[in-house]
This record gives sequence, C-alpha cells and structure tokens, in this order.
Amino acid sequence: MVALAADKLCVSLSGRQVLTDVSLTVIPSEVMVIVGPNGAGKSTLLRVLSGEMEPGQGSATINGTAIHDVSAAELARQRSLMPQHASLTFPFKVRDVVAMGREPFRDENNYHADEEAIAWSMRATDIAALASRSYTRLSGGEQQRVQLARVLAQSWRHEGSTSPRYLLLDEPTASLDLAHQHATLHLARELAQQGAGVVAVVHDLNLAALYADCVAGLSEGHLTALGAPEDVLMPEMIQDVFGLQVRRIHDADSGRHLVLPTGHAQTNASPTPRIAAQ
Amino acid sequence: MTVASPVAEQSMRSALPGVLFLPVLACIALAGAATGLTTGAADLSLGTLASELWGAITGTQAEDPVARTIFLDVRGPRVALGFAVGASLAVAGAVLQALFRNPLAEPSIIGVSAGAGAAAVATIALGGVISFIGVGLVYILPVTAFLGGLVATLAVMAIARVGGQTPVLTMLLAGIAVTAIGGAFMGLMMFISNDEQLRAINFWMLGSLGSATWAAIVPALILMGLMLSAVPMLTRNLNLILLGEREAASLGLSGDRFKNTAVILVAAGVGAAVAVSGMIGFVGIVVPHLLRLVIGPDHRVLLPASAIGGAALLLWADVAARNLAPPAELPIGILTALLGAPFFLWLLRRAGRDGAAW
Repeated sequence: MVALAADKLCVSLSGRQVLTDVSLTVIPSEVMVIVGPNGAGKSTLLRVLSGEMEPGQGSATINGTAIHDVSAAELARQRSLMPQHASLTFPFKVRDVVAMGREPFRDENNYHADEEAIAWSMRATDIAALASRSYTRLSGGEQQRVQLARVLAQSWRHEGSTSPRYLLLDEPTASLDLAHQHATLHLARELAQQGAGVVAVVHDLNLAALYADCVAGLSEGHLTALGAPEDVLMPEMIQDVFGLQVRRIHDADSGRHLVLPTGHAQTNASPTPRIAAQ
Repeated sequence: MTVASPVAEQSMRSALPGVLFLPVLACIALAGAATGLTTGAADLSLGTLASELWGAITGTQAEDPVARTIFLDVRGPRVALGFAVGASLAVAGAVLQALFRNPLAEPSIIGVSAGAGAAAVATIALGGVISFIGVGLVYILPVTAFLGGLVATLAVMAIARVGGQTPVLTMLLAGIAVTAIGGAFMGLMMFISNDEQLRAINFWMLGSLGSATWAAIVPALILMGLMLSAVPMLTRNLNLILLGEREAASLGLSGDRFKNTAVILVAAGVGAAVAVSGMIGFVGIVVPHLLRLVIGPDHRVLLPASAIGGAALLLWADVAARNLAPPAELPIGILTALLGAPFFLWLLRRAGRDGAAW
C-alpha cells in the first residue's frame, strides 16, 4: 500500500504516555494538517512517522514496510522532515544549506537534477535573492524558509516521476509573516497535486480549513478527530480540544468554513497570578 | 512563492574562493618550514637549503655535509613534526567543533589532550614496568595517549549531552572536570616518578617539538598521517551534522557509526600529537576559527585549509620559540597558549554578545 501510515501507535517518554492508540494514514496527493494544543503529542507523532523514534506499541509503515526496516539512506530518498526548531548556528551560505537537501541523491551523480531542485526550491520559497547570504544573519522567518527550501529540494522529483514521497513539516509557518504562511501551505497543496503526501503541524485553524484535505486533531496524545476540514473543525470539537469557543463562518467564495473565536479561552494556566492565602 | 518552471539557475560554486585560499596557506606553511630549516644556532642560507635538498633527492655528494646533516637529521624531523602536529591538532579541532556543533570545542579545552596527557605521563612514569614487555616507549606512547584521549572524548560527549544537544555550558564544564581528573592523575604520576622521569614529564607538559629525531617520531607521524588521510571521508557528514542531529538523520546520516569513527580519528590524531610534542593547546580553536571567518564552514574546504593552516601556525610558532631568547628555547606550548587563550576569551565575549554569529 502506497502510504505513510500509523497503526495504533503508543509512545511513552520518561514514563509519561505521549501518544495513545493513534492510527492515521497519509496518502500521496493529500495534505494532512495536524492540529492540537501545546503538548498534545503532535511533534512526537511526526518523529514516529519520520522514523526518528520507534513506537512503544503499534506500527509505523512507509509504503507497506515498517519504517525501522528501511535504511536511513533509503528513507531519506522517500521522506523529508522539517523539525520545529532548526539548530544550525554555523554561517553556511543560504544556497549551501538548501543544497544539503540533495545529499541523499549524491550517489546518483545527477548534477542537473540537483541544480534544478535547488533553484526550484529557492524560488518556490522566495529566497532566491538570499542565495549567497549567510544563514546565521537572516531573520527567523527567512531562516525558516531556507529550511523549508532544503526540505523541498530533498523531495523534488523530475516532472512525471511517480515514486512516492512524503513531506513532514513541524510548524512550518510558526515564524512566517501572513503572506508567507499562506504561500507555504499553498506550496504544500501544489506538491500534493504533483503526487507528494504532506503532513504539517499547524496552529492556525483557518490555515487548516483553507488548505487541508484532511485534518487530524490531537489532544493529550489521543486522536480525537480525523476527516475533512469541514467535518472536523466544528465548534464542539474545538471547544473540546482547545477549550476555546468559536463560531463557524461559511465563506461563499472559497466554499470553506472558517472559525472565529468568540469566548474566553479556558486554558489550564490561570490568567492572573494567584496570591497564596496566608 | 509561486512554482515557476524549473530552469537550472546559474550555478554558484560558493566553495571556489575558499579553494583559491589554499595555495596562499600552503605558501605560508612552506615559508615557515624553510625558515625553520635555515634559522637557529647555525644560520644557513635558502640557497644552501635548496642545493642540499636537491642534492639529497638526486643522491649527489653533499657540498656542505654539516649543513645537510642539520637540514635532514637535526631540523628536518622537527619541521616534519611541527607540520604533522599542527595539522592534526587543527583538523581535530575542526572535527570536534562539528561533532559538538559548537565552535568552542577544542582538544585542550574539552579534555582530549588531558586524557591523552594523563595516559602518556602514566606511560613515562611506569616506563620501567612497560619496557619489561620489550617494546620501545616510542611505540607505546602514541598508543596509550590515543587510548587516553579516546576515553576522555567519549566521557565528555556522554556527560555534556543534554536531551540530544550539547550546550556550550555543559560541554565546557565536562571538559573542565575531565581536564581536572587528567591533571590530578598526572600529578599523582609525577609524585611517584624519579628525577629523570620528572624532567621528561615536565618538558613534555609544557609542549615542545624539541625532542624530534626521526626514530622518536615515526610511529606518531604514521598515526597522524592515518588520521589526516581518513578525515576527508567525513567532510559531507560533518556538514550535515552542523544542520542538527535530527536534520542530519532525516537526510540519511545514521549517526552513531559516523560519530564513533570521527571520535576515534580525533583521539588518534591528538593522542599521537600529544605523545611526541606534549601539551600544545589552542591550535585546534584558533586555526579553524580564523579560517571559518574567511572561507566559511564548508568542511570540504575547511578541513584541508585547517590542516595546512595548523601546520603553518605551528611551524612559525616553533621558529619563534627557538629564536625569541637564544640560546634558550621557549616551550612552544607556552607560546600557543599566550596566543590562543586571549583569542578564546575574545570568542567567548563575542558569543555572549551575538550568539548566532559564529
């Protein structure tokens, strides 16, 4: 089966159950957006799906094979990962960072494919003008786009190539301005149209509503909702998962449903500091 | 951010300017070697050097037998040792900085040198026991120093790691602790040493190329040569690891084997260098750093440049050590520390001000 799939995943980290019984399937040509509050296990789920972490129970498979049976080198040619926090602190040129995305294909020795992938990724993420700048001198948002370009270069394929590939993006829009947030998810959609399976953790529910084929809601390690955005992003679900009251608004132009917060958030943290009774 | 038609952009080989810098470094190193061969107690001319070296290569009779002996047997091994030690220490520094993803990693700061040193001092102090086996100290010293350096490196890596990262603070603290343990052990060994051993240990702790004779340095030269010729295999993975461990793993680098190889190579290079030249500090931090400022962090260029740059630094430092206060000879380790420690402090200050600008 051509898919990136999690089946009844359970993961615990230092004694704490982080994921419980999570099953979902990412198929090529689809954008799946994972939503959920902080600490819900979203990043852990991506770690398991990328093969970085072995699940305690359950299985993670890529195109039918257990991810841990696939070599690191082969896995790198099938899926790319953009972690939430980049830890590059050395002053590589922007283009050199993007070029590292081609490292898994070095044995193919295809100079033109590499150049094409790099040039395309840099244009797609709007960083072509930064090519010879030092990565460490860029703003946070620019750095994030460079990392995205590296990931895109890794999953770039010749036009017409049918080999399946998956992109795992952990909060790719976190430090981006509004236009680049939309551009990034628009890009995810285009990649999906070209046959990639995309999984992205996104906090903005309206971005999810606009660009996702499928939304997965995670809450305290449980998969609480899975389906098309218009079915999943309902006020009851958002109240349950995020503790936030929202109103659903239908946008006639896009045909999508957007959500608008209406009430106070009921987070676990108390809004005002409590003074201990003496 | 639209998906335009894929047309290969004009290729920018950003590595080129760095590569062009290599011949410049090589000239500085060669000039250092020539100066090292011609200056000293007997000042000889470059012309004599050229004709005698050419004579030695072609196998003709020496025009000036004394000069040829000085070139080949007195100063030759010293220059060869300076070249190999400088190159090994600088490359070891560059590799460690990539492994720790931290530009402050350096063999003498994070305890590799201290580990190698403690093992070497123990070997000298217990020399009587070891020579009983019947193998010369020349051969044993590089091996024990290598093992000592390896243990120290693995210890620092294990201690300093916090949740998959190696923060500067824990790395430096682990280095201090490991260096302190190594130092205490060295002190203990000196305590049980006799006078002759004490002199050997003392000379050696200050760092010097002065003991160089071909017979004494060949085993160490071989070990350093092995390290320097194996390191180019690591360049691409060293670049990947700078991206971050998760990123490197997602690009197909299976981490532990690569890391272990790199650590073993570093320990071999530093161990061999320490065994024959003692504690020469800071070469591993000064050289890769200055070069990174000029040619960038790409290890495909940085590693060869560090090797040549390290060799150049140590050759010139040895020229200075021999000529600053003749006829006495300053221990070269004192010179590199005088040069390197302020540089290290400057780096620390810079890091505090501008954390991301490495």
